[in-house]
Formats: sequence, structure tokens, C-alpha cells
Amino acid sequence: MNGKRLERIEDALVGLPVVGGIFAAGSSDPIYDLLMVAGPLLLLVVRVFGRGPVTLGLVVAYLLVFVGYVVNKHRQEGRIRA
Amino acid sequence: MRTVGRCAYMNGRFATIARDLGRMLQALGGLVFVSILVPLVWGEFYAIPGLLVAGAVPLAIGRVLWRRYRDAPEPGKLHGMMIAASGWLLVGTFGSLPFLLIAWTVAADPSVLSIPSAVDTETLAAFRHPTNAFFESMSGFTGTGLTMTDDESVLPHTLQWWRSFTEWVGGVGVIVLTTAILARPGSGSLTLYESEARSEKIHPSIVSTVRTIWWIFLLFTFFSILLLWVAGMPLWEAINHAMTGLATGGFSVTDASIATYDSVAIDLALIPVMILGSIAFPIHYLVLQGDLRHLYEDLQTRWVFGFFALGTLLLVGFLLNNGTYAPTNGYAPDTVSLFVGAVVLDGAAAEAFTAARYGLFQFVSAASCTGFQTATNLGTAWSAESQLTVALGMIVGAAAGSTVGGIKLVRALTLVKGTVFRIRGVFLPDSAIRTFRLDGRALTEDEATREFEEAAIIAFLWVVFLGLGLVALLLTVPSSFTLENVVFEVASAQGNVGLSTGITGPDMPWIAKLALVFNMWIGRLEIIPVLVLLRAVFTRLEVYPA
Repeated sequence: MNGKRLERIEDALVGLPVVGGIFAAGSSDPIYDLLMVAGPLLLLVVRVFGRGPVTLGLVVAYLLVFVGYVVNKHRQEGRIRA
Repeated sequence: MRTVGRCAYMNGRFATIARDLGRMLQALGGLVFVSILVPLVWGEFYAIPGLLVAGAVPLAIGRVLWRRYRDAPEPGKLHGMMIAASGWLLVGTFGSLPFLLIAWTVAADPSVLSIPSAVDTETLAAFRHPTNAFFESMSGFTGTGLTMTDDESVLPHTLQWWRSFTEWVGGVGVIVLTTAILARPGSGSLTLYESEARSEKIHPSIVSTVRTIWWIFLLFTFFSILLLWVAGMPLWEAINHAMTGLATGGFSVTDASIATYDSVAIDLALIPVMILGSIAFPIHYLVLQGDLRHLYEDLQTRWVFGFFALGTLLLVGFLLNNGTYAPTNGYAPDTVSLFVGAVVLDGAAAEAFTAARYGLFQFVSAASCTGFQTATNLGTAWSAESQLTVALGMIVGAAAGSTVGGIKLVRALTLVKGTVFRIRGVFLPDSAIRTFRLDGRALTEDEATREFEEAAIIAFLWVVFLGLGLVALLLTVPSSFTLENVVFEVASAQGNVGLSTGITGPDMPWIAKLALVFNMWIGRLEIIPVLVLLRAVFTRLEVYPA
């Protein structure tokens, strides 16, 4: 996803009623905002479909994206500092 | 004139405090109303009337206070301390209403609510007593985790949720308190404002800081729930344990805490959750910004990892040396199966693995002040030195600016470094120029003295109130409990840990319950705000002159 598209997602999330304030309070990073949205949605999916290969795969992917993004961001910041 | 002036000042101060307490009570009412979703989802409709009343009472009182004093002056730091101390007490008091009202609803058993007979358990019946309900609520909001329940698993889901929710909200509350509102020299609160020097993207105002803390906490909560679910915990239990683990509170929804699962994967998944709660939240913010360096460059965080590692090594060493999990004594399984049976350990390898597993979990649980338990035989089979190591962890705690209790590592560090600094100074000439360095900052003589004084005062008061709690319990609990048991219990309450030697329970004398509530309260607020409040109350009542 390019930067402008991510910014548009960020703006859309901040503009949401009721929960928009949560996204406005964050780190102005649309990936974290997406993780914030995906978290409760995944809980709902797990509640509805139970434990299975698909739900397990989705949740593992969420956790890997979260950790991977923090590490990747660190590497990018490191390059900028260098 | 002097008396009139003082009265006017006191009234102005009261108005500000009353207005802000009103806001807190309104927020509490809102939290209770949000919790109505739980009985709706689980079909526990009999709990809804109790929750409606429990939400309406603080909401109404809060609204009256807020409307009456809304024009009061803005609070200063002194107000902040008094609001924090009285607010925590008030929220704990009104937070007991869901326990009390649901327990009495079930006892009254009105036919219109069709309450299932299985709900009416001895565990729930304990909450009909206001002291037990108050104890549970204060234990929740202070993030302690000591409980009046015998078997959490038989409680209605509504009350299981309310217990976890109180710890979760209390966890955020204490981070906000220590990082944004009551940050004092020596409190170890490496505030977001200080951190601003490290990152330009951190918000400058308290309001935005508080919002950011909520945002981080919510994001980590979803992460923790999903991590625990992947490790094998059922969803409802993962939600509750993630909330109480991240808040380092330690309430569980199962009878034997985390030992219920007897799962290596769940043990290992909970350790990072507890560690997340033990690191100062400004550091989390910087890490999420992509700056992982703070995990090893920040003094407090480095010490958290170092302290956890050293404590674990020491504890595992004691467990191995004492043969606690030797194959012959029956506390450890003969074989340990790992990676779905791909690796099977037996004999000395099984003993070493079991000791490492329980030692690591219990030390992190104690030092993070969470209080989750995996070693069910901690109070009976663990040696005195093993128990003492766990007690050391819960007295020292982890990072200031996180959800943990205890004295806090940064204060312990300040005391150690400050003492060495003072002793070395004796051997140097008066003209010698020396610099006291803390967390890479060179402090002036005044700053160093303030930091050292604050840490010494808190540590001293911590010991004094520990002693007072000790006396109260020794005079009231059955003599079958030893002095070590009582010291452990009071330290656990004051450190907001929640590990228990079995003293705490519904049958405990009410004086002992109130004594532990007091220890939890002062422990959560780091003592000074409570003393400021008590002084103001005594002055107001003219117990002694201002």
C-alpha cells in the first residue's frame, strides 16, 4: 500500500463515529489502526467459528504482522538515522 | 481572619476535589453500564437489574457533585494527590455494588428473574457481606488480585468480567497517575515529557498523553487475548486473563489460577503479557514508533529484564538445589512431553525443565506484581529461600510508569547508587567535583538529593506500613499461620501482587480484611497521596492545626 492510500485509511478511521477518538489518540500510523480494528473483528470470528485451522491461521497471521511491523519499523528508522 | 481565610481556601479546595470526584463517579457509572453487555451475551439476565442500580448510583452522585462544583478552580498537584487518593477509595467503594447487588439478587431469588439454582453458590454468597464486596472491588481497582472467592469458576460470567474489568481499568489508571498526573522528582516516572527529547512525535499535553496510554493499552490487550488463545486458552478465559495479566492484576476466572491449564505453551504466552505490563508505557510508545533501542538503552527497562533474569536464575537454582522437583518427591511428572510429543524429557532433564518452567513463571509473576500462580505447591513444598526470593521480587516490583506495584526498581536503584555515592564522598576532599548520574542524566547536587530523599522516604514508609499491616494481621488471624505467612500476605497486598499463603478468604476477620484493603490502597498510590489526604482530612476536622 502506498503512503497516500494509508493516509486516506487513517483519515477514514479517525472520522468514524464513537470509535474515531481511539484512532485519533494513537500513533498516527494506519497499520496500527488496522490492527486495532482487526483485533475485535478476529475475536468475533473466533467466537463464531471456534478453534480451527482457518481461525488459527488468521490469528497467527495477526500476531506475526504485529511483531513483524514493529521490527520492520525499527529497521526503517535505523536506516533513516544512519 | 486567619481562620476565615483558611476555611475559604479549604472550601475552594473541597469544591475542586468534589467536582473531579464527581467526574470519576460518572465514569464508573458508565463502566458499569458498558458491562451490561456481558449478561446480555451470556444470558444472565438476572444480573441486569443489579448492574443498572450499581451504575445509576455513582452516576447520580457524580452528576450532582459535578453540577454543583463545575465552576471550581482547576486542580493543582496537591489537589491531584487528594483526588487520586480519595478517588481510588470512592471508586473501590461504589465498585463493590455489582458484587453486592448481584449476590443479593440471587439470594432473594425473585421468580420473575428465573435465576438458575446452579448460580446460588457459596462463592457468590460471600459477596452478600459488604466487607467482602468492598475487598474484592478494592483488590480489583488496585490491581492486587487477592480475592474473597473460593472458586472463581462458579461465579456468574458477569462478575468474572467485572473483576477483570476493575483490574484493567485500575491498571490504566495507575499508569496515567504515575506518568502524567503525579510525576514527582524521584518517583521514577520517566514521563512522556522527558521522553519528548527522544521523540518529536510524543504529545505534549496531559490529555493527549492519557489518550495515547489508553490506545496502547487497548492495542496490547487485543494482542494478548489472541496470543493466549493461540496458546490454547479458551476465548472467554483468554479475554479475562489477558486483561488481568496486562494490568498485572492477577484475578483469574479459574479455580487454580493458571495452574488449571498445566500447559507450557500458556505459561510461555503469559510471560510476555506480564512483561508488557511491567515496562513503562512511555517506552512502549517509543517502541511502537519503531525505536526498539529503548528496550535496552532505557535504564529502567534494562533493569526490568536484568532483575527478572537474575531472580529467575536464583529461584531455579534454589529449586534445583533443594530437589523440589526431583523425580522422587512426586511434585514433578516423570516425563515432560514437548512440541506435541516430538521431544520427551525424563529424569534429571525433566526435573531441570520443570524447575525452570515454574521458577521463571513465578518470579516474573511476582516481580511484575501480577500474582498468577502455576506452582500449586509454592506455599508448602518450596523452601524458605525460594519463597523469600519470590517475596523479594514482589517487594521490589518492576518499572515505574507501568502497571506494577512494589517499591519499583528505579527507586531501589536510586537507593543503591545514592548510598554508594554518599559513602564514596566521605573519602574525597570537600572541594572534589562529583556528578551523580542516573539513567544517563547528570544530576545537580539538588536534583540528586531530591531523587535520593524521595526514594528513601517511600522505601521507609513502605516498611512502616508493612509493619502496621503485620501487627493488624498478627493480632487477628488464626495462630496456625506463621510469621512468614503473614509477612508474605501483607507484602503481597501492599505490593499489589495477589499471591497468597491462604490467609486471605471470606472467613478472615473483618479487621484483617480492612487492614489489607488499607495496604492495597496505599501500595497502589505509593503512600504519599494517601498521607496528604489523611492530613487534609484531619486538618479539616481540626484533629490538629494546619
